[in-house]
Amino acid sequence: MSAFSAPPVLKKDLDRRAFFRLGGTVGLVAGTTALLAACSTDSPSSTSSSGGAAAAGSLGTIAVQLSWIKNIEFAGEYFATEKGYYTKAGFKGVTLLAGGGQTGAEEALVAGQALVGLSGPSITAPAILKGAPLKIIGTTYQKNPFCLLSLEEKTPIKTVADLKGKKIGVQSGGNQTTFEGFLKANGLTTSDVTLVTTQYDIAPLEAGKYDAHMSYLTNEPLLAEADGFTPVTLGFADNGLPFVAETFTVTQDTIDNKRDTLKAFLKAEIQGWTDAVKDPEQSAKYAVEKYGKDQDLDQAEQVKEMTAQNSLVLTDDVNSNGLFTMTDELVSETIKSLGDMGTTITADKLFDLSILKEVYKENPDLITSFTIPAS
Amino acid sequence: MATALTTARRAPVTTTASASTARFIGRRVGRTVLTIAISLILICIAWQLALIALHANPLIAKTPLDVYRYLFVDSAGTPANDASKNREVLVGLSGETLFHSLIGFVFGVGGSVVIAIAFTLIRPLEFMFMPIAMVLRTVPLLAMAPVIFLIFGVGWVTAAFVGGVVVFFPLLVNLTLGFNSVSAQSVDLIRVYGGNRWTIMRRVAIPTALPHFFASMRIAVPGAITGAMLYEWLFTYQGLGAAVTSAKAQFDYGQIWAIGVIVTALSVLFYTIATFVETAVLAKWGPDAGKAVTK
Repeated sequence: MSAFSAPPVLKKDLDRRAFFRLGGTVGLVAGTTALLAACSTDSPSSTSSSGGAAAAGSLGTIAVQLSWIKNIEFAGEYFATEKGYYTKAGFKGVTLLAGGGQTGAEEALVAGQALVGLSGPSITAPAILKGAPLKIIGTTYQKNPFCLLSLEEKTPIKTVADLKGKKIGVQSGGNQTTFEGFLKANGLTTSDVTLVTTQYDIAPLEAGKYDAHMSYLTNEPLLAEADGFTPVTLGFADNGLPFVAETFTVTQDTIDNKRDTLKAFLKAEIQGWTDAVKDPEQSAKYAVEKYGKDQDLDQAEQVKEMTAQNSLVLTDDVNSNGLFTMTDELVSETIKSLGDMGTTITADKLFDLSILKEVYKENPDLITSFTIPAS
Repeated sequence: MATALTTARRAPVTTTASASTARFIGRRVGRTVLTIAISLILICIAWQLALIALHANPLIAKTPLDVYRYLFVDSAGTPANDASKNREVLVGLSGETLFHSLIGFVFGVGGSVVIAIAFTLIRPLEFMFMPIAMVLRTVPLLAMAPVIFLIFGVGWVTAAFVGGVVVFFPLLVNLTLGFNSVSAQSVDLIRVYGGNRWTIMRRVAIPTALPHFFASMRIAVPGAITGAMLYEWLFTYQGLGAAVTSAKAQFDYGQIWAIGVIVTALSVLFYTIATFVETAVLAKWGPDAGKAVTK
């Protein structure tokens, strides 16, 4: 009987298992924590640019966090590097950090890995509300490039009215928020359409899995065209959700302590972008042959993208006020659109356009009258 | 007469055994809770120290205390924190993720058991199909996502497939190994009494494979949660998996770290439950289950 009540084999087994269980628990938790830490650990600040007079190289080397992989979207930055505008402005060098991964400009800025970040107000504003000390000091795109891409051959969606009851492929995360804002701005809700999660590939759209794909005006429509379809686009900026994009974002600390560095940077950027918008061929060449060499980009496609991009960068207001500037109307439109996207913020918390204003005041010759492409 | 005697003698023994089993389980639960509590404290200290040592930015890298505040302390300042709302959101999301985990778990475990039995009974199948199982495991699901979407669309079938793929492979390999490690003597014995392959499987192979089954179950449980989050991230707007992406877009690192903690806690919880089930089942039906009696 005693043999039944306390089986010795089992007991020994239990001790060994208890040991494994401890090991397993610690391993599991430690593994998950390490993973998390790896995703978000940031090394301390390493940028060391000093302010002061813009003598050659006196502003040191700064890093710019791009919002996407090195393609045509950053043509102005390539020109500023190639034509020596950064060095002429007093920088020893400007490092362009490719984006498109999991690290956004906001993270790079607060962690001190970049001095300037290219981002958008729909991402910067929530970060500010969470306590990140950031400001937008200028914008490359006057209009956001978001659109719904549909295909003439399948179910073309030309107007907001066409949208009702359709199946829309939207990427989860930031794009989802933007799309819901677009619906709200047009008096619709998510129940008026069927939302389908998708990635950035337009294959499901071409296969007819859904009717429209949330895209960039400058990108996916061209890809659909290359695949032999007739792209139909419904731009958010022209349909109730106007806000700027590809904005220059910096920390409040940089504004307070390195104002001259920022002014020098903006001047070089304006010069770079002035050249870039005038010369789509050369812009594409820089992207294809040098900066985005490992992306396997296509020259002709990049030229088209640059031309499409120009219609977002150039407006009548830009021609009279200069590149990157924002009119008061555009500022208030952006704030209203952010509200539709669920982010309530005031203009003075999000924007500080005074630096750019000073740049143009000191260098009025930087204002150029461009030929605006028909969009 | 002899039968009656055996039954009479056996009855009290069984009750004593189950009473002692209950004691065992009670002690085990107590010890497990203590073990987990100690490791939890150690991990929180290590977590806090790591962030301090690395000078991680407090806006991005949240400490255990930050997560606690996010979940339990209201604050009206900037940024404001509504703890009860945060909890409500996360409980809802966790429910969705657990549901998807369950689907993936059931299909992954079910599929691997059926296929492992087929592999053992019909040997050529293993050589034919093991490479395909390996392809499923090695090709990143992210790369397969558009294909999976085109074939299965979005819904429980996809959840079952993605969760299943994550759970399936370790279980299949372990189970096949378990089924194949039956002792030659037992097989001979059954053959002598005229048993066929299926009898061997039922009477010997399945009990022999039980420890292997439970060992891989411990991998499968956290695997199912990972698989569910992967499915949610790739294909839906639901659950913790998709919440990580939208929290990232909203710069809501409080939520991201809280999700990390919840996922870890859920994994540990279900892992522990799996080990309890393992002890109970092996004590009764495992390969060593009878041996205690003879001693």
